[in-house]
Amino acid sequence: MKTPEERYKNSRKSFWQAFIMTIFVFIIGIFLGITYEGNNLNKMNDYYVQSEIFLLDTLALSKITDTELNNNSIKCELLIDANIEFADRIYVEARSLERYEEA
Amino acid sequence: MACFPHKFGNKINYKKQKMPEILTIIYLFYSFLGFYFLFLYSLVYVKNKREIFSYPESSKDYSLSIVVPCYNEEKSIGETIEALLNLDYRGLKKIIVVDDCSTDNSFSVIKKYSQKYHNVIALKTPKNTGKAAGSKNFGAKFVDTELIGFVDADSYPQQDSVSKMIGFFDKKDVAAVTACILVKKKKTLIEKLQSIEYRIIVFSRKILGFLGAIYVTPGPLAIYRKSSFDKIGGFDEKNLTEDIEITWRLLSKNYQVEMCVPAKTYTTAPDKIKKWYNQRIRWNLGGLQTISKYRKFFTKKGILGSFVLPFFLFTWVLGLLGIGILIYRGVKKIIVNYLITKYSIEAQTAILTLKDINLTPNILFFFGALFLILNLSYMLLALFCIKEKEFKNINLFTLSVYSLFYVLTYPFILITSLTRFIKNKKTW
Repeated sequence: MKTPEERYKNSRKSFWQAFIMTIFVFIIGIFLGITYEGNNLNKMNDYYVQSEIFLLDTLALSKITDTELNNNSIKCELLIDANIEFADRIYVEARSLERYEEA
Repeated sequence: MACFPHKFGNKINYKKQKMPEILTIIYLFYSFLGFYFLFLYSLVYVKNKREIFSYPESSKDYSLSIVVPCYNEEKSIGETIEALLNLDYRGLKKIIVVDDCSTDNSFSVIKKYSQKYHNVIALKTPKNTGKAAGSKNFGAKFVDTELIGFVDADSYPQQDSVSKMIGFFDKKDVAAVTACILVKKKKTLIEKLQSIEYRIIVFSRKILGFLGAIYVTPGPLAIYRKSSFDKIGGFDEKNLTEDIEITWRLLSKNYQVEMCVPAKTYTTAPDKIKKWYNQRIRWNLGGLQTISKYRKFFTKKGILGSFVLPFFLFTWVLGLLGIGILIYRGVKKIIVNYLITKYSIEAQTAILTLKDINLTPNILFFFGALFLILNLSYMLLALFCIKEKEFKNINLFTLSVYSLFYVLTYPFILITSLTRFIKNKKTW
């Protein structure tokens, strides 16, 4: 059995050791926090960009449709062409994204 | 601009991120202190785990008298005296039972024992002192042994408890030794919860003992060196928790206080919520009185000023801060939810959104979760270490109620005690 002095001396080192451990946990916590919150922020930004693109596409499409309707010059062929052009654009973007991913 | 609220929102978020929120700082401060104490306790435990149950063998049989303060304890005093008569310590000379002018039959029960056993002495205070400290000091006047022990009239030390405590007095600096206090009856839920609490307290107090920072020598069983007891002037009769106050006084005079875990004593815990509540208020008021009395020692050299006092203050700060944040968050949530729901109904939009489910918790949430898990682990470790025969009887329900609800009552008790303390202080 240790003497009380030895026990106190040994145990009282724990004041500093616990302090260092807490600082260590906090540094890790802050690092993880920055990484985690950064990821969250990136995801949110992506959502905002996607949402903005979708909104712009919708606005553009409705603008075209409204203009054509007002001019009484709407034609099925025109809309089909517009859709094909839109699909082509998406396809090209997807291909380039795929190339980036493969790289 | 109205079509792109995110851009506007981003600017606000950016500004918010730059300016640290006060609440986040409070959270971090709270977590820091919580983690610090948890690590401190864990480290001390790891370093001393083999010595938790050890106690030094005594080099001699110190003469001992035990004083039992009694007020309206006719139901339990007999059993307490029986438990003391049953002690196996050879140096026990006198059992002095002090009746503080009880209004029931306590004194006649005590007298019966004093007539039957020569070492049981029945005393009665000239008038009711109103506090246990009064009758303890009164009884101490009749003690002429090397050691003086105190046992509450509703507590029952085990046969070998005192003999296990005595060896600590071989060291001259040791002025007091406290024991392992456990709950006797565990019938009602509140008793079961206190039983868990007492075991965690025993474990934590022993950990503090390794740091030389035991801050209380509780009434159910404590032994003092008579010369030291006399030197500091006995118990403070104005204090509601004389057992905390006397320990702080001993620490302030650089005496050492030890704890003997194998020395078990069982005590009667409040079996009704009202009694329990009143007891807790009294404990906290006494704690506040003691903090106030020893405030000048804050950050001064010695374990009292450098650890015990700051530890008590941090406990108070953490408790009050915790309840403050909880109330703030709760009220804010209710108001915001009310306004959003009202607006959603008027605008005929979705009442519940994904945001309400909080699918993306922030890092503080994970910090809190980690802290909770570590706290629960500490609690289970304490319960595992301080075993009782009835250990198997603690079921998951009681443990859950203890860790999720019972612990949360502390801050409310702190607030009530603080309010009463501030109000009463004018008259003290």
